[in-house]
Parts: sequence; structure tokens; C-alpha cells
Amino acid sequence: MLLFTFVYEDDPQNGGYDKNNSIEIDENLFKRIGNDDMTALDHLYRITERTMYAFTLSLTKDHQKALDLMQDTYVKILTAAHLYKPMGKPLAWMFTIAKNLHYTNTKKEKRSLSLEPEKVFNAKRFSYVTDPDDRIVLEGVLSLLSQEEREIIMLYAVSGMKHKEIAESLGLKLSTTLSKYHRALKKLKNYLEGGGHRHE
Amino acid sequence: MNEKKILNSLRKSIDNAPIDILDRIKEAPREKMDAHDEITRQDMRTPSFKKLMPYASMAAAFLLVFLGWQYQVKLPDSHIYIDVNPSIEIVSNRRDKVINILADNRDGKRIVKDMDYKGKNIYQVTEEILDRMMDENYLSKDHEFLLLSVYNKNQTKAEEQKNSLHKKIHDHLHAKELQPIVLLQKIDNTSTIEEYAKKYGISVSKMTFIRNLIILNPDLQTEDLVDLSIEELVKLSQGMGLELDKIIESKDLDKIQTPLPEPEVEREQDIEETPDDYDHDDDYDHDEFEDDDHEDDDDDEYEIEIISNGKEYEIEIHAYTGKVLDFEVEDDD
Repeated sequence: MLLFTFVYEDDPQNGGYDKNNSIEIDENLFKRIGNDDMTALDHLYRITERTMYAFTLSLTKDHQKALDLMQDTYVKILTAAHLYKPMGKPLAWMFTIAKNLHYTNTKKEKRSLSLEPEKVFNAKRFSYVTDPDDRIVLEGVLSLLSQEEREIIMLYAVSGMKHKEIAESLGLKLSTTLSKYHRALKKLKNYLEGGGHRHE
Repeated sequence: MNEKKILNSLRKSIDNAPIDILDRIKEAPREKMDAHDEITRQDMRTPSFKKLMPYASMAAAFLLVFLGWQYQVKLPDSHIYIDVNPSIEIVSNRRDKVINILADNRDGKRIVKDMDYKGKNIYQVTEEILDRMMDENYLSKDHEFLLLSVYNKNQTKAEEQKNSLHKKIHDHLHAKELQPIVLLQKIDNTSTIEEYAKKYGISVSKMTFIRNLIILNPDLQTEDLVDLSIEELVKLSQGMGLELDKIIESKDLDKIQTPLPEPEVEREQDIEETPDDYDHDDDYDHDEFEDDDHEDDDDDEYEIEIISNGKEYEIEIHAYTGKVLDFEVEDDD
């Protein structure tokens, strides 16, 4: 008798990074939110707040815009939760909403006239990051990495999700996710070794 | 800075971010949607194959086991043909268990009627068939000819089965005080042979034997041979001097080639007229040759009669072409 066993190993090179805060979302929460159960929204918000912020920040690269996008995303969830069909990927749905809203906003912004090019990393908007090293790292992430690299490394650092879960939530292949993660890390290491100066 | 520090640093930054928008979310004006729009549309593609992988693997494993079982137990592997006059086909699986028995002629149907073959192997069923053939007098001290043919795509297996069945048949019949003459032949399941076998209501193996006899002597006609038993076919071949060892193999071949009792030749009719070009010798004493006086005078032919082992063989041969025009076998009363 032949038996197939498939084992997915997460990246062993995470350096012992503590990832015990993995998100587990009960999909029934959306049904309850659809029935105007605000305690369900409280719960959903509580367990996803930091992850959604990390994700919206990786999209917008701006603290305030990230908060606005977060708010719009949760409001959209409130209006559509009753339509949600459980498919085993609740975070993927939330990320999709955030991303679609972001693209819609970006299109609107592009149509606006006289928008001066904005500095990529506005230190004032990240005043809550007091540690100089942390600030350099965040600046490196937001200024150096591509959007997908930002999404992957932010989610991996903040959400406690494994690479496989991140891949599923972002609709990417696991191999792509791993490759982009390591490429992003390499860029960051080079950047940090140069004292936070960009090496082209 | 190593990976761990980078990740911790990022996490710390995000953890420290002032995010307090829950009340704003709850207070924001909103209206429930009737249907998903472009923003909230869910990806309705089927769940990732990777998610289904464990189930697919289990299903594949079960399918493999099932197919393996089917392959081992249910699917035909060997076709074993036993021809005496009854022609019987035993179909077996890869484990040599019998999964079907077919009768290829009327006598065969008598033998296999109500035979229970379930759970039995080819050797058990073969012995049972032999016993039934003895009970019905198809096999006896006077009738000991048997044609055994095995077809399997794997020629090595076919050869092994043929040899082991040959031994089993010998052992079994020896125990019943019979000295069988078991003829073994290679068999190819060609559609032409099958078609002819079906047409004449005989087994594929017997049709193969007849086809091979005709190859040895192209003047033989299928129609003349299909009604003969294996024993009759062998004796006819010997009578015609055909080299049977070219088409069959048998450890009993020596027994077959042992000269049969001198045919008792009897004169039916004197040769009154012979073909012009026949160099008739006055001393020629082959009075078994006979110019049959047919209605058509152009059809000069010789009739040969051979009496052997209680059988009378009549062969009509065209005087000019040597073609066998007719062949009959009757009990010699």
C-alpha cells in the first residue's frame, strides 16, 4: 500500500524569532457581524488590528493613510459581512478589501492635480517610533522594498503567520513568498550595514 | 543586524503605533450591501489544491489500492485453453485464481455446466475439468489427446503456466491410469483467429492449431477440420506426414511420432481410369488410390482411405493439383 505524506516546513532560518501570536479567525465572526453583533466586530478588530495596520502600512507607506485605509476596510467589512462565504481564508478577504480600496484611492489621487512628490519616509509621521534603530529598519522597509516584499516581511514580523499562511492570504505561491522574503531581508541587511544609507 | 533583530524591530514599531480607530469604525455611516462589489468580491476559485492535498493524497492512496486490487483480482490475466473435443477456456487473474470459465463448443458446455470455480486456482479447476471429461468419456484410455494453450501478454508467465499445467495434467491423469498426450502450443490472440474461431464455433486455441496445420499444408480446408477432435486432427496430420513438431511442443511428441499401427488399407474400387500423365506402374500396389468417378469427368481425383484405431479416414485429393478436395472421418464399424 502506498501512502503519500506531504510535510510543509516553515522557513527554518527565522533565527528563533518568537511567532507565537498567530491569528486564528473564526469565520462565524463575519456572520455575527452581518447580524449587527458588535461584540463580534470588537473581537475581530482586537485580533486583527496590528496585522491590518502592518498590511495597510505596507500598502500606503504612511501612518495616517494606513489608519484611514484600515478604517475604510473595517467599515467595508461591516457592510458586506452578511455576504461573506466561508472559504477558510478570512484574512485573505480582509487583505483583498484593503488592497482594492487602496488601489481605488491611488487612482483618485493620481487624477488629482498639483500633487507634489511626497517624501517616501516622512519621519514626522512615524514619531511614535522612538528607537533610532527601529526607525532605520522601518524606513528601510518602506523606502527600499517593493510592495509585495513589504507585505510579506511586515506580515511575517507582525502577524505571527507562517510563510505558507502569508502566501495563501496574499494569493502567492509559497516559493514566491519565500523568495521575496529572503530578497527583502538581504536588501535590508545591506541597507543596515551601510548605516541606513541606500546602496544601489 | 540579523534577521531576528530586524523582525523584532519591525514588530516593536508596529506594536507601538497609535491605532485607536474602533470607535470611528463603529460610528462611520454605512449601509448593508445587497451584493458584493468590486472591493469586497471574494475569490470564489476552488480552495487551493495544496489545502486539498492531504485529502487528495488519501483518495489517491485508496484509488491505488482499489486499482491494485482490481488489477490483481478482477482483471483477466491469463487465458488457458483446454481442447479435447470439448473446448474450454479458463480465464484467470494475476494471482492465478479463476475468474471465469467459458465453453467454446457444445461439448464444452456440458463439461462446465454448474461448475463452481470461485476461489479456486487454475490447477484445481483444470483437474476438475479433466475429471469431468473422463466421466463423460472424452478422455479415456482410447482417447488421450489433449491440446493445452496458454495466452498471457507476459510470454514468460505464459510459458511458466503452460509448463506447470502440463505437469499437473500429467500427474493427475497418470493417477487415473491414463497416459495423456498433451500438446502444447503458443497462442497469439489475433483478431483474425478470434473472428474465425467465432465463425466456426470453436476455441481460439483449436483455431490456432488448425491455422498452423493449414500453414503446414495449404491444401487443407478449415471447413474440413473444424469438426474434428484434437485426436482426429493429430492422426490426420500424421497420416499426411505433416511435421507436427513445427507447430506444437510436447514432451509426449515421441509418443505421437511413434508409428501408428499400419493403416489397414482396403480396396474399395479398382482404378479403372487414371490421368493421362499419371505414370502408372503395373507393379504399383497402392490400391488405396482411387479415381473417383464423379459426374464431372474433368475432376479426376484420388481417394485415400486409412483405417486406424477404429477410425476410417477418407481423403479426396485432386489428381493434378494435389489439393485435398474432401476429408471425412468415420468410426470403422
